[in-house]
Amino acid sequence: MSLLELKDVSKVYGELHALEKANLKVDKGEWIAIMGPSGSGKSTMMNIIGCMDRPSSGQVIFDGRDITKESRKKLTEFHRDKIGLVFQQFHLINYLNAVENVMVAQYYHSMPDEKEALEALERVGLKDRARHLPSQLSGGEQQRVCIARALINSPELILADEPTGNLDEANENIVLDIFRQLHKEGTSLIVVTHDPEVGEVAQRIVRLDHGKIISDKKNESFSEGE
Amino acid sequence: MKFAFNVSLKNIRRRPFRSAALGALVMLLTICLFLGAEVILSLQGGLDAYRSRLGADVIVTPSSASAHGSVDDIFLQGITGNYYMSEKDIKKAADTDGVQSISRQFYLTSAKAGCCSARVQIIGFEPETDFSVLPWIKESYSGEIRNGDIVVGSEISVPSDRQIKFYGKKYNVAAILGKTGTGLDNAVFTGYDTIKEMARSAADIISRKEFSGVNIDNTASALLIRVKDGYDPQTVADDINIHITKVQAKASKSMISGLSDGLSGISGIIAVLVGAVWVFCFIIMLMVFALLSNERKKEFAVFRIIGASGKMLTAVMAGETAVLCLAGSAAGLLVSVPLCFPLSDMIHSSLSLPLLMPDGAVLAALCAGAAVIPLITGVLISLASAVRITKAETGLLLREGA
Repeated sequence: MSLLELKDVSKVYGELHALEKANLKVDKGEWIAIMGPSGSGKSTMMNIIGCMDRPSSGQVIFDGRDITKESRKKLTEFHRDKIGLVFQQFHLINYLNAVENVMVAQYYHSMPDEKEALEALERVGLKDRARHLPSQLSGGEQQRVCIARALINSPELILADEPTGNLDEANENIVLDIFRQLHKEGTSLIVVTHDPEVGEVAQRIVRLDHGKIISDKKNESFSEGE
Repeated sequence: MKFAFNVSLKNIRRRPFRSAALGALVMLLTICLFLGAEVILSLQGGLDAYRSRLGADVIVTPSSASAHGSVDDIFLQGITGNYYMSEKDIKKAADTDGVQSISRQFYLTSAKAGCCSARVQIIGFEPETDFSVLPWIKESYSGEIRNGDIVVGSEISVPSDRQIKFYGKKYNVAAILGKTGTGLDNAVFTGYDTIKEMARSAADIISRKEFSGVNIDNTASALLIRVKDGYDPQTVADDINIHITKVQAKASKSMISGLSDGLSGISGIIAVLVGAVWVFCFIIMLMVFALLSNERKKEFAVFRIIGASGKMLTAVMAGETAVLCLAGSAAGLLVSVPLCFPLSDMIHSSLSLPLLMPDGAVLAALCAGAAVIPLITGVLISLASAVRITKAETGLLLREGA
C-alpha cells in the first residue's frame, strides 16, 4: 500500500528549477535512497516531503491525503504526527542536553515523558550520555540523539538528509544498523545521500540530476540481514 | 507549559552573556523611565504645592520686608523675618477698590537661645479669615487649633512629649504637616492669638527692636487678598502700590507664572530626554531582538521541524523575552528606587527647584509602569519576530541559519 506519492511535483526558485515534474511512489515499510550530485534537487525533494517547503506545482499525497492543500497549521500537525527528520548537521538545540532534545519533540507532539525519552536514547545506545549537551557529544553521538528525537513520536516515515555525511565509518555503520532495525520493525525510510555505500543498503534507489528523476530501480543487492 | 518555560529558562541560563546584555538594556530603560517620570512628577507636585499654598490673588507685605527677600521668597519659601505694617496701612489696603476679603498673617523668627527649642520661622494666621494655610493644615489635621497649639512643617523635629518651647513657653504640637518640598516645611504655624502672645514674650525677653512702635494686637506681616469678581489682581496690586507707600503688593499669578514657566520648561526638557532615551532604547531593543531572532533562525526552524506550531514558537519567544524583561526591570527598579530620593534632594538643592516626591501609591504605580512598558515593548518586538519566522518556509530558514 502506498504511503507517499509525488505527482508531477516541481519547485522553482526564481529562474532555478530545483525540481521538475517529479513522480515518486513510496510504499509503507519501504526503504528508499534518493541519490544524486550536489544541486540535483535531493534536499528540495526532502523539504517538500518533510512539509518544510511547498511545491510550486504538483501534488504530494501522504497516506491518501493531499498535503499540498493543507493550511500551515494542519501541515505542522501532520508533519509532527507522521514524519521523523534526521539531518546531516544534526540540528540539535545546543542549550538542551540529549534527553531534553528528545523530550522537546515529545512536548510539541503531546507531552514530555523522560522515561520514554531515555528509552529512545537507550535504543540508539546513548542512555549513559543522556545528560550531556550537544557540545559534549561526538558527531556520531549527536546523530544518534537526532535519530532518537526523530523516533520518539513513532512516526510512519523517517526522512534522513545525508545522515552519515558528517560521520566516520564506525559511526556510519552504527547509524545504518539503526536504520536496518527500524526497517525490520516496519518503519518507512527515505534517505537522501550522495554516498553510494549508504545508498546501496536501501531497498530502492532513486537517482536525481538537475531536478529530474533519472532512474528509479530496486536494489538487487538489498538484504534485510545485512 | 512548565516544560516550555524550563526550556526558556535554560536558554537564558546557558547563554549568560547574551542574557546579561539584554537584561542590562532593559534595566537601563527601566531606570530611565522610572527616574524621568519621578522627577517630572516631583516638579509637578512642587508646583502644585506652591499653587495650593497661594490661594490669594494679591499678597501685601511691608516695604521693610524686602530686606529679607522678594515677596515670592517670603511667601513661597517661608523666608520670613520680623517686619510689620501699621494698622492704618492694613485698613487702607482693605479699603482698596476691588478687595473682597483679606486675611492677615503674622511672622516671627524664634531665637537661637535658651528660650527657644529651635530657630524657625513662625507664621501666625487668622483661622476665621484664612484661605491659604488652613486648607493645607486640614490635609494632615482635622481638629481645631486652640490657643497655645502649633502646627509644624514636615522638617521640624518634634520631641516625644510634643512640646516645643518658644520665648520661654511650651506650645503643644497639634499636627505635623505634609511635605511641600519648599522652605515652608521648616516653618511653624499657629493662630493669631498664640503668635501675638509669642511676640509679646519675644519683646519682653530679648527686647527686639523690630517691635518698637508696633502695636502687636493690630499689626500684620503680610496680607492675603482675594479680589472681587471682574477685578484684575494686577490692577488691585498696582493700586495698592500707588496709594500705600510703606507696603509692596504683588499679584500672585505673576509670582507663580515665572516659576511655573520655569518648571514647565524643565519638565518638558526632562520629558523630551526621557522620550529620546526611550526611543533610543526601543531602537536598540528592536535591533538586538531582530539580530537575535536572525541568529536563532536555525534554532526556531528546528523547533518547527520537530513539531512546534507557530503559536508554540511564539510562546517560547515571548516567554523568554518576558523573563529577560522582568529580570531587567526588577534590577532597574532595585537601582532606581533607592536613587530617586538622593536625586530629588540633589535637584532640589542644586537647582533650587521645588520638588515634592509622589506618594507611595504613585511611586508604586510608577514602578509598575516602568516594569510593564519595557515588558510590553520586548514582547511585542519578539512577537513581530515570531510572526516573521513562522511565516517563512522552514526549509529555507534551516538553510539560511545553517
